[in-house]
Amino acid sequence: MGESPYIELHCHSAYSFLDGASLPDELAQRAGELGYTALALTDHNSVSGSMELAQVAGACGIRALHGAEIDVVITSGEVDGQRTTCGSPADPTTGNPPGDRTRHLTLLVRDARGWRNLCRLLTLAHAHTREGPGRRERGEPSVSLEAVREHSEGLVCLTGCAGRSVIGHGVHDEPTARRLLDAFGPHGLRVELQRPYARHDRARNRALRALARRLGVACVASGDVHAHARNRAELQDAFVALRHRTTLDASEPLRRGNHSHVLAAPAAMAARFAEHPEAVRESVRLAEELRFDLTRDLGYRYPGSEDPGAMRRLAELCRTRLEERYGDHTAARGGGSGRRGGDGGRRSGAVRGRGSVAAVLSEAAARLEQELGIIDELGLAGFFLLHHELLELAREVAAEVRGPDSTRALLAPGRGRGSSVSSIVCYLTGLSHIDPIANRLLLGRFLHTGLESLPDIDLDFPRDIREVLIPRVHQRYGNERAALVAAFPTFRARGAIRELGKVLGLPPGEIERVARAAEHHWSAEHDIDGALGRGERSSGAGSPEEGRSGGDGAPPASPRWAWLQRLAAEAYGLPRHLSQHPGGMVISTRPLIDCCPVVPAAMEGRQMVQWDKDSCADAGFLKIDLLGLGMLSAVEGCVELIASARGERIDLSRIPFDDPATFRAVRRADTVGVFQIESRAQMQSLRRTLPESLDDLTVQVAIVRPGPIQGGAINPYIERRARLRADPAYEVPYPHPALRPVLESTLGTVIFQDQVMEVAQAFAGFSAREADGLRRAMSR
Amino acid sequence: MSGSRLLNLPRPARVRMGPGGVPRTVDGRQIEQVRESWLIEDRWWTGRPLRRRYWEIMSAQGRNLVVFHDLCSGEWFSQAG
Repeated sequence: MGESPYIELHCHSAYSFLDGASLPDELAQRAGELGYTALALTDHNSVSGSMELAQVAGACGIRALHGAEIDVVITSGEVDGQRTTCGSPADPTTGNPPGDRTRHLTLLVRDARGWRNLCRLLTLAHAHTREGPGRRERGEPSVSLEAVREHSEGLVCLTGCAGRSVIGHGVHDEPTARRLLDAFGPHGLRVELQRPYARHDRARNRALRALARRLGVACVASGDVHAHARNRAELQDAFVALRHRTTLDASEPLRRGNHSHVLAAPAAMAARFAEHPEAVRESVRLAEELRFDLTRDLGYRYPGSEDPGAMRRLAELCRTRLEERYGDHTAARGGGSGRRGGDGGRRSGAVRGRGSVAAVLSEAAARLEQELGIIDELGLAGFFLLHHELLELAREVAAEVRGPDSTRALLAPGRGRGSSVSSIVCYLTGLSHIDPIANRLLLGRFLHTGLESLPDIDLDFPRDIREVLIPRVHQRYGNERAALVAAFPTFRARGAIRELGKVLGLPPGEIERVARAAEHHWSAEHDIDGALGRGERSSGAGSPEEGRSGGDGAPPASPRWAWLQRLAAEAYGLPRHLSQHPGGMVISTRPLIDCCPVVPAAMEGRQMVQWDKDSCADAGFLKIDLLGLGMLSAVEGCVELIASARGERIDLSRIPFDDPATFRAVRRADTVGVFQIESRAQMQSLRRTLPESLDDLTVQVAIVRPGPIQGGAINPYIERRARLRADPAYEVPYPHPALRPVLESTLGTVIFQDQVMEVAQAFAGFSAREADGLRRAMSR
Repeated sequence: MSGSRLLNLPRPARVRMGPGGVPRTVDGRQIEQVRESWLIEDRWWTGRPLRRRYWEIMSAQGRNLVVFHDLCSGEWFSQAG
């Protein structure tokens, strides 16, 4: 990598919710194009985008630097006598006591200790944010100056951003700066200079340079970047107005005033700080000191990962159960639903002879040894044992919740689903109730020797059991070591139209009309065109300033509508706020707050890490999905009702999978309230696919999903099924003869993620690891 | 007597620029020093977007001036600071 004259050390992504307007990968890619060799991500009180940046940085030719911009409360006793707009007699936005004020500090991670301290600080900053009534309204995160001083090790502190006033938002007063100097030392503190092209930049930077001289520390230049490219600058303005629940017209004092917060080329930034060349050089020097690598230095371990006896115990558990499940005494066994090749009628009571039992047992034993070999090679025995332990915990919880006399007492506490059902180890340890041998399920997607992240095991529970189980997991492993996974709801067409339309001051009735016309899978750009009565889809926003004429009954032509179209398109897919994953939990041997900040969730007794499932997977976190499934609750309710009404105890494992009357009802789309096939889209599709077996139903459930819809697989599949019904000799076309075995069950179309892997392996010679990488990339 | 009137309205100015758009002369007056420069970009969502590069400068006669370059129209204006 060539030398860059300037490194950006202060940059916000869209994970500075409703402030930053670009994703970390957009920032990384643009930084690489502009010739940067490194880029620091410093989102507001958050590292939610850090792992994303760490993952893409190398491919973009840059080194990821990590940090955050934190809000620090400086109490009146700690200070300086300087008056600011924040925290004067009463501060309704922060709730700080009179006289206290909130300042921004930019913290950069130098090493692993620094990462730990940053995570702990951010955890502290958010700890009080759900203390309001009902925990629904999230308060503003902040930490005390004393907390920052106590967590200074391994961190570099920059004195914070400029804002639009001569005072700025950072710590720019000498007494407070000296307290930071005491904690961070001259090598850990820099006075931050910014040039946002505001009126008082020069005066402020001269004063800050004088402050740095008095403190004996260096100045460093930074850009306070909020967008990766010029075409996102307006969206940043709109986000500010949205965050403050006002309009663009009314938000001038809150906005940045201009668009200089876009990532600029290193040479342009050096020119911007022509009066402070030393501060520009310092950005490069400092970046060199920041050697923490999030992909390497996190130090996470899950319980059992280092247990030398784990493999032996797992093998013993599985081999004992192998005999129970597949041994000679099993006259008939349940098969469950397999996605392909499964015999839908298997559950109707097929009795196997002694020879057949021996053959199946032999096949199962061979499969078990193959899986145990892979698990041993990957060092995942502890992973499976931990899941097994959790399931046992769930069993205890289920017994408590259901009560000893309940007809539900005999039911399993939960159900495994997803790719883990292809594993015989999961089947034998009770994590899945699907027999992978009977259903001829391939292991590749779930487990292969090239696996780079931990496999996923999804467990569904009735809601009442899950509600008790999640806090019980917190208790079992400790609040410091267990937390839920975060999720980031993203802007979609309707939400973007509604929120940005309001920000633009457009008429509420018109906004709602356009939003309601929006389709989920289409872009906002298309929807607004349609709603405005413009027949043809435009190729872009063009010149929003010019406005456009509406059709009959369309809203009047206005540049604001054109801007809505453009802003909604730009916002599409950006994270809107931090939320909670439905049930993903991470568990750690060391305190999680040393690995990732943990913040309170909206529900009492729950907390979550600041990373979503993808970042958790990239971090190697063991994520366990404890999902609540309402239909499972409903089924259990039915079992109880039947018992009380008819005195019958229903054994769900003995329900046949080929009941003709049931399939007739399914083909009539008489499926209101039937799990997975009750939606309007499913019901419409059922009348066309006319499923005759559980395998057909499995495909049916899968086709009404975004992947096959966007991939154009639905119509070809339905057409071919119809042709086959009319003419059993019909030859299904395949893109290539090599793909016939892979795509036969779905009539030449790619419906399942497993097929993406198998196509890549069969057609392009990918290894299981490469194929899984492709699948993961496609599904993100 | 008419009603209210706007104060501090910009007046057109004749400006000769140097490299980087820096004003060299304003209405024939030589510029000695640039004290500050800032940028305003606003109202882009309306039919009348506003993009102005402001310069706070001092003439050779020691007089403080504020001028701006309207980046939409290309015209220069002076305005009291």
